Amino acid sequence: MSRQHADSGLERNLRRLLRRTPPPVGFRARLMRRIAATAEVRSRKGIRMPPFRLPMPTRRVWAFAGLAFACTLLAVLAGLGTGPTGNPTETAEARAERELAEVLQLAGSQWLRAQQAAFDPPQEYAND
Amino acid sequence: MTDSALRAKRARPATALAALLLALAGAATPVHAQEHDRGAALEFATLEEKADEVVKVNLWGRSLDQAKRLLGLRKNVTASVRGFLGGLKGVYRRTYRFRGAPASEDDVRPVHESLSDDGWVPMIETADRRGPESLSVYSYYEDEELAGMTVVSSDPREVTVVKILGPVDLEALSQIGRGLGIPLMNVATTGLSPVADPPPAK
Repeated sequence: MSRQHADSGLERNLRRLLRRTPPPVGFRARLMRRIAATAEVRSRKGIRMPPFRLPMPTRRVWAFAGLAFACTLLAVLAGLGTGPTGNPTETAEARAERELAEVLQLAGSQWLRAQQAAFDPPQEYAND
Repeated sequence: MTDSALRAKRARPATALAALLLALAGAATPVHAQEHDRGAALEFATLEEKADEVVKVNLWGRSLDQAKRLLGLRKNVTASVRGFLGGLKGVYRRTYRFRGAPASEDDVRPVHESLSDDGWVPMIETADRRGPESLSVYSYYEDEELAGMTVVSSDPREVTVVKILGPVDLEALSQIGRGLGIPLMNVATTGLSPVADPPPAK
């Protein structure tokens, strides 16, 4: 199939689609007419859109970007610092708790051993 | 009345107030410091010099309060253990481990002497006839009430001294020793053989 035939087929499809689409009415029609008129005037007078310009000097933009980056970095570092092991008070408390439990369990187990040795000696010594 | 006399008269209430505050502070501090001193005296230079590894735990004052509060919040803590924890005034541990030259009886003797000198009374003393292992429990009484307990265990590889200051509930301590009362933690009880079941009667 040649390109011309393909284009004509595409055009036919587009025309059919446009026929099905209802024409704009009311506000939409007015807006489209206004856009078309503005575009025609601009094209007639040779008016072109001005190039995009930043609302502030480039140096200031870079300064703001740098500041934002530094703040983000600080926030991330602070978040890492106050993670599970970042709170020194909590760690000291948890450590004290573990040490207390350990020492009491040690004392308790030794107290049981001493009790057993004193009041319930093994048979081999009980007969002495 | 001279100026100096007037000034002295005016200064008298302030001085008296300062003296009262100092006296109050002085009266409050020694009790706390005294309790700590009783535990801080747990220093044994001979053992420390000879040991390859030394473990020291000092829990008193704020650190002990925090530890008691956290431990008391745990789910499995029984009421008697919670009561026992509440009365604790100081908990100290010294563990000396020996990898090279073993600990001898002469090394451990200063521990027992020091405790006896400080008014600790031996409650239970056990010693293995076949080896240099020993286990002693000392008690401390204040106004005819048990106000502290020290356990000294020694074998050639390890000497451990555990001192508990405050009213000691022996039943609660037994519960803790059996692994009840407070959640079981990974306790470093190197050198401590588990409580052996008595042999069946012949």
